[in-house]
Amino acid sequence: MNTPDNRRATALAGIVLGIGMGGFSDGILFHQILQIHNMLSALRPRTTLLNAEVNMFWDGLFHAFTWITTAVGIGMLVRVARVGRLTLPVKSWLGTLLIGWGLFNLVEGMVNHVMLGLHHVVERLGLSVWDAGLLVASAAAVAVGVRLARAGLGKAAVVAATAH
Amino acid sequence: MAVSASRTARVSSGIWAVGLLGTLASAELNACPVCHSDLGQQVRAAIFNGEFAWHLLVVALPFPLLALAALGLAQWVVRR
Repeated sequence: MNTPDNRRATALAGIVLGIGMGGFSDGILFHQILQIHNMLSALRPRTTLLNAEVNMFWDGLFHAFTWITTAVGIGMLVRVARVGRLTLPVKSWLGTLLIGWGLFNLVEGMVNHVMLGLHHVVERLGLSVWDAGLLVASAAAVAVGVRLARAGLGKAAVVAATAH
Repeated sequence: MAVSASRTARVSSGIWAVGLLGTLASAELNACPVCHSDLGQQVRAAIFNGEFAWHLLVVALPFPLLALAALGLAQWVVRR
């Protein structure tokens, strides 16, 4: 049944999966490949092996929370798929993923980078234009995601209305 | 030629073995939180101290906020 409740459940699964993917991209790209910051790198700069190891531990916990979020998203997706409620068009589905992705960076950026100062995008610069850029890009991703999701949902609603 | 190649392979393997043993025996590599080395103990002490609960809270904090935001956005995107 293509009802608003079913579409909402599918959208929520997409957003939660997008949050997980956003978290993993941050961890993999910034923490591990580029190594421009780590979880507590503003409190414990990675200038010694000791601090690098401590940051690695907290990066690991961050990844564990991200893994749990992704697993929850997959569970939600399987749940809606099992009862035949995967009612979002691809465009909307991609939109919900983008919403989650942007949302992760927006919330994490506001809380960890700006409010708590645990780390910053480019740690050697401290709070910089890169942090502002991340927030702006994340807000833009959420806005584009909402637009994509709604555009597809409009079609889904029309299909549902004509099917009845 | 065959003997020479075999000897080169043995020497090469020996160098790798010595290097591997040296690496594994290095105290610095045993710096993990559960390692029984001086540095391992320092890592443990730097993690599991009076600030552990606070650090755990702040590392976890974005996730419940994200859950709330996701619920709100899913409701808002799919309006009745």
